[in-house]
Amino acid sequence: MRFGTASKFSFSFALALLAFFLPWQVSLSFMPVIVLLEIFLSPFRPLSAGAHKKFLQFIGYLTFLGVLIVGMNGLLLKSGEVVLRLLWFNIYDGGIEFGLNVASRLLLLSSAILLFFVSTPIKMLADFLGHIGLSKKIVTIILLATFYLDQLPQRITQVFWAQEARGAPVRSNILQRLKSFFSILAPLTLSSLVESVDRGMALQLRGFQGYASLSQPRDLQDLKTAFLIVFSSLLALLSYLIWK
Amino acid sequence: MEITLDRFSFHYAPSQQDVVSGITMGIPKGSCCAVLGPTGAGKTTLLLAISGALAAHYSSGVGEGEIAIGPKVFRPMPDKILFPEVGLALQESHLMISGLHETVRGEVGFSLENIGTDTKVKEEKIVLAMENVGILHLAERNPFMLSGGELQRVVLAALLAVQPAVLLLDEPSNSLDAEATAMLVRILRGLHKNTTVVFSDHQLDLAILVADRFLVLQDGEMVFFGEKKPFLKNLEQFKGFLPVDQWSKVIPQLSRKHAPHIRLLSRLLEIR
Repeated sequence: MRFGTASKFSFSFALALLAFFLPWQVSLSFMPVIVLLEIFLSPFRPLSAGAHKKFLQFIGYLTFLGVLIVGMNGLLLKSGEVVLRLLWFNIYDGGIEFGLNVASRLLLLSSAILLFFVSTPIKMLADFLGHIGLSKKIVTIILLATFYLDQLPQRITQVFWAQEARGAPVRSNILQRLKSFFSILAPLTLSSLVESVDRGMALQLRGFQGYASLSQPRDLQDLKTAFLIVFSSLLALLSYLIWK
Repeated sequence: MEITLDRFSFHYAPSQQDVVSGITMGIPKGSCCAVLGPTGAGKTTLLLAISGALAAHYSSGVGEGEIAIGPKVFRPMPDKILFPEVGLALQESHLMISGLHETVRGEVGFSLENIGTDTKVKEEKIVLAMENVGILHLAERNPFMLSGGELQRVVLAALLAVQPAVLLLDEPSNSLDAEATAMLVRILRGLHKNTTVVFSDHQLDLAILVADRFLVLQDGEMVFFGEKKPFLKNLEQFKGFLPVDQWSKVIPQLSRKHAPHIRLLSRLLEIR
């Protein structure tokens, strides 16, 4: 059984879809599976050591956010029994239940998407999107967006330094920083827009057709696997909904 | 392929004035034409028009006249990008890097991949193109980690690998050091017989060393179009908008002695 881009995409898509329906216990149990897949299963291995580190960092941030969501809901959503008293705050089990549902969905959804992108080179993604029939325009737009996101941190630093060199108060108090934030945002947005248009033209000037025309669609050989994943996920979901 | 422009004009929006106006010229197959002029003269617009990118990307633009590339006549200009027959390298070479490949080798092969070149032939062409521009040692490097000059050469290699009949280069000597410029001179001279080259520049060095036809633009208007001899003879007339000083001292001697321009000028420039 081949596990290529199509299978990976359908696996991530199925996980993202399931995140909306599964109870939080099941959703959360998928989290260690995703991390193990990222570490041990070759198709899901990240493209570099840096990407692996960032993946784990992101999972860490998400978990922290999840705990925060659960805590805040338990505190603010006053439904059900009080399960814990912290000083003069009451934590309600209804709120915790709701928070767990929201947090587990967020965790599973984001991790599933991240698992796909951390292990798929942009070129494979472009080829895959092109081969499954997405138009050249849409593939180009997706590519430009991923490229833009990839370059964003570097760009922000550049604009930040440029504004600082011009004397903008980028390192003073929060109010001043907020003010100077706009002086960073405006050039960032404008330059990105212009560059994206030019980059799109440059891609066309190099004959980009939305996907590599002769690259062997080996990835599509795993369409059977992909189909199997989507089909079994849908079947599992349907069975769960009927049972429920 | 021969390139002919007949009274070609273009403006980016109906209410704007012409960026290039009434350009008429003919560049025979295999020759090399330098488009010279100060910033804003319309050099890039002209190259974009010939490549087909202008009509494809600036739909609000209005053109007049006609552009013929080989047997095909476009009125007023090609409405789609003519790659791989026509290859254009944009001035900002970092934009030409697709970002889809993590190595220079992959990046050079990107265009070949797009036109469906067989894998074995592709590999041969990639190596040959990289050898030609002297970047074989950079083959496994990440294109985004390269200097401006190195990036410029990667873009050139990527275009050369496709062997376009018409090669358009927008200010190719930008961010190139003396050694890289010398290499560019060698590459462009080597291309002459097979490929029609049109490149823009606001410096004269590369143009005089490489080109056999010269188009001089000022504010979108054609000030001069012709071969090397009349261009060098009339060099003083471009003094206001081209940096001719360094050359005007040399040119009279050249004309008098009928010396081979290229060799002497190359020596004067300490290229080679």
